[in-house]
Amino acid sequence: MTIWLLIAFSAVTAFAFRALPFAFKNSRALTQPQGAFYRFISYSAQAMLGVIVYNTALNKMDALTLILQFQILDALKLFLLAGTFIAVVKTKKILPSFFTSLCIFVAGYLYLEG
Amino acid sequence: MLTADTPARSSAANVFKEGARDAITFGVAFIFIYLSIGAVSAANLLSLSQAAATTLLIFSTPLQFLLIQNYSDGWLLIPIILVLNARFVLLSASLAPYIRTSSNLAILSCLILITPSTFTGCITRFKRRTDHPLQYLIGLGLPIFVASVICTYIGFIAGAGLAAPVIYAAMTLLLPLQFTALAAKQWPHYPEASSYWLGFLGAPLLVYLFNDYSLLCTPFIIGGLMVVIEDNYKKRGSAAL
Repeated sequence: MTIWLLIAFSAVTAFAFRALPFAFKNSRALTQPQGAFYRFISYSAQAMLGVIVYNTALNKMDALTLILQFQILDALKLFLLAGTFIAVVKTKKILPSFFTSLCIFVAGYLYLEG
Repeated sequence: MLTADTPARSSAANVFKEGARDAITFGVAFIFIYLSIGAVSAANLLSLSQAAATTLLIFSTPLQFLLIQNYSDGWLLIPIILVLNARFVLLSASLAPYIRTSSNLAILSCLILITPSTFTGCITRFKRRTDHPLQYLIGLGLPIFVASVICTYIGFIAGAGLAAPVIYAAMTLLLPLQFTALAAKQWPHYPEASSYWLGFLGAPLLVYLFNDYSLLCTPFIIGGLMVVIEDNYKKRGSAAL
């Protein structure tokens, strides 16, 4: 039963947080994209994606742990993330860079982990 | 109201189709991610209806993985659920100026489609064109949502066959590769791209300050910092003139 309650709580809060800004959709702060508040929200959203990516790729390691436990696989991840960014900027296409990086990572993982 | 910087205005149906076409690019990672969510759900002894409900009702990859893998922790998960869901405020607030002219009912019925991927797809588009923004969001998000539900089902049925170590390893990089590629689509909007990388670089450092709430607090620090830097840069530019 707990899992259903957790799913229900997650669903309600996800909906509420998605809906909340639209309650203020006509406010001055959200109608002026050049305004400081909107830019703050917009840049924070991008930064949040960066935090999610770091946490997912490198398992939420803090800086010291990352340095002490740094592995070749972590270096490969960092290299591929930077490489994917540069490749998409240059080519303007997501899919080729995405699949190439994914294939390289899987090949690297299989090689390193035997 | 935003001024539409539109090279050519299209009909709502055409905009929907353009969104659906872009869904292939922005949503490809969802196939792998939701196959994995289905497989991990089966491996963690969830029922098919529970696995499907997480996708149908929540549609948030990190939160779904958290629930599926840690539901035995029960109510201890509530603060983390709130933090993970609070990020949707940022995404919705960024999209609000563009789709605010649509009816409340239409907006409410599309809320489930707002994810980091559809957000990036929409923002990338809306910086160029702002005609029929809600139709674009639906065209982009609906195929991704439907595909994710189907993949959750397939992944659950395939179950252990997909739960190999290499799949789990690939999972750790699927979402990061997807988001990084999406962030690159912001180029040459330097403040947005810089915010993304500052978030990435700041995460292992600011976690010392914010611990479990780093996901919520770190972005605001960086967002504020970027606004200050940008405003100072503009002031210097205007003073030089």
